[in-house]
Amino acid sequence: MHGIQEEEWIMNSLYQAFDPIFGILHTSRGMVRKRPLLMIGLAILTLMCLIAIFAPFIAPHDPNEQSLKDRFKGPCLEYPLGTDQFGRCVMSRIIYGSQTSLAVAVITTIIVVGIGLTVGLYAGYYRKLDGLLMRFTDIMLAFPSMVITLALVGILGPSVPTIIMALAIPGWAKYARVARATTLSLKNRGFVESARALGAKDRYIIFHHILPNSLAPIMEIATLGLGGKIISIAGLGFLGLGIQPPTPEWGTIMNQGLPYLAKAPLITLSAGAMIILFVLSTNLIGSEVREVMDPKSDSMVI
Amino acid sequence: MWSFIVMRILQTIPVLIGISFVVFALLLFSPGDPAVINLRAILNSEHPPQEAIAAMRIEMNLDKPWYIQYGSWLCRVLSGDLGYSYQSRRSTVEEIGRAFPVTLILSTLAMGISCIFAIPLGILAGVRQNSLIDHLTRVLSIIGLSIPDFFIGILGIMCFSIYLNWLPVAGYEGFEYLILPAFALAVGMSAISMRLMRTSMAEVLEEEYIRTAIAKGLSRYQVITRHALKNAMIPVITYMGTQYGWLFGGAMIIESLFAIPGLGRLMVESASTRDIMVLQGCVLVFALVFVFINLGIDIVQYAWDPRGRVDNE
Repeated sequence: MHGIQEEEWIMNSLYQAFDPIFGILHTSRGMVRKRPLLMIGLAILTLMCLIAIFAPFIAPHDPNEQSLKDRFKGPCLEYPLGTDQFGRCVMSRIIYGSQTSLAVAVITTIIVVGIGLTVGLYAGYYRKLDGLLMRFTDIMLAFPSMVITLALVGILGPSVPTIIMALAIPGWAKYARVARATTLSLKNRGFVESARALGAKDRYIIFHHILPNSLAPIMEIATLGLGGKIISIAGLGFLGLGIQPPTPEWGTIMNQGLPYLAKAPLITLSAGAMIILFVLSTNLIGSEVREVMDPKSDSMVI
Repeated sequence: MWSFIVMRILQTIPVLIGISFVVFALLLFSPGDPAVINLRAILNSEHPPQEAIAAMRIEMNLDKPWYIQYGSWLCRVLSGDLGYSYQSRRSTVEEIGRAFPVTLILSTLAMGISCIFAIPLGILAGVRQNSLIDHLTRVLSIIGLSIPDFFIGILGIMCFSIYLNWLPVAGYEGFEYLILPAFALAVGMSAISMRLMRTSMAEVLEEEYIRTAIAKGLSRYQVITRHALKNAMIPVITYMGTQYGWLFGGAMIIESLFAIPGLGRLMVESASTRDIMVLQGCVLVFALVFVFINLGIDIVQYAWDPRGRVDNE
């Protein structure tokens, strides 16, 4: 008797623990039919992340292993996408490249969202700070972001921390603007006022009431921003000012394949294809999520 | 009208001051002594003599606190002295003056191409919502947004320069050298303006005055071209203006790929060689262009659309 009860209890709690997953699976079946583009985007993004995480198991070769007798080989069984000017396996370099590009893009996006949210929440909540902080974002938005990024990389030299910083400094202002706007609209709503009446401190109200409610629009821009960061990172690499070789990175691979475009176009094209797939997935997710949240507005227009 | 323009110009002053601080800070952050950086270019030597460095430090006020340094830097900039290029030994102003018209032509061309494609397609998609063309433009714009401009440039080089041999690969010796780069830049821009045109058109067509125009017996074509388009264009013009400013800075990668001697390439080269004075000059020019284009858009919008005037004044 005791055993059966325990078993039942374990099963119940197991079911409860997995309930959210069943829920997601259940709704996702409906979502596939309703929003196929969203599902395609999510599928590509998941696939990309899996490729990055399991790169050592998927890649057929070491990305930096040179074999000079195999230079500029066409696609074959051993080298599915051929080899580059040093006889390195292009496919392996692209697979390992996803680790670099994704890691830098994700870290930058987290930093940018963190700074932008904090600035935006405080600017929206405290009117005294608002003018100052918003003039500051005005100035940041007056520079095309790639200009600031390139200037910082040029001054400080290309390294991973510099690149992350150079991408983050011009990036946060947009998030601050959105967070400020949602804070302004939430600040005088009933639930915030009742929390204040109950004696909640400003900090508590900002982080427990306003923050969760302003996350949705921020996440949506962050998804689109993630794709934008991938393009910026690749752009820097393409200019030779990104993550330095021999570390495999998509933009750098594209740049290095450029002189051999006629002879071995797959080097540049396959790295480019990975960038496009990734950005396509974030664009699909971002625009579909926006349409779900606000059907009247059109996608992608920021 | 004039009071609005004056007000709007006055509003740019704090932003301009902010920009000057940021650009000045670039020099402060750069590793190495600014006096040495400056002297290397002027004296054409890797290790300038100590006396010259000491004299330059005093001339640039580097021994004074930062606000005096800023003041003297600002005076120099306002009098048109942006230092000298370490690479070419020419003055930064001269370098920028040479590159600016090239970028201006390239971005105007890209803008023109994008208008020709985006606006008619956007109008069609907005007028015939949920039709085949509407879905087609939506898919096209998502794809167009997802392809980096330099990838389009590379595809263009492969198709038209390597295989078909119709267009030159790189360099700038005539108009035909700008066709591929301008197209590459136009794709991403058209993707957004097309959808914006569609949304804006769809929204305007819902309005009362359009129904009135139809009820008066005007043809569909007349309603769209004479009544709807004028209002539907407003957000598109705003966006395209901003985009024009972004193009100046955004053409960096394309200009480098096609070896076009414009501002973007100048900036990339100065960043690669740590030519700080030219880099600083380029950042300043990009920011100024952006601010003045925004000023222009606001004034055009004010003149075009009387509805927003009450709020602004």
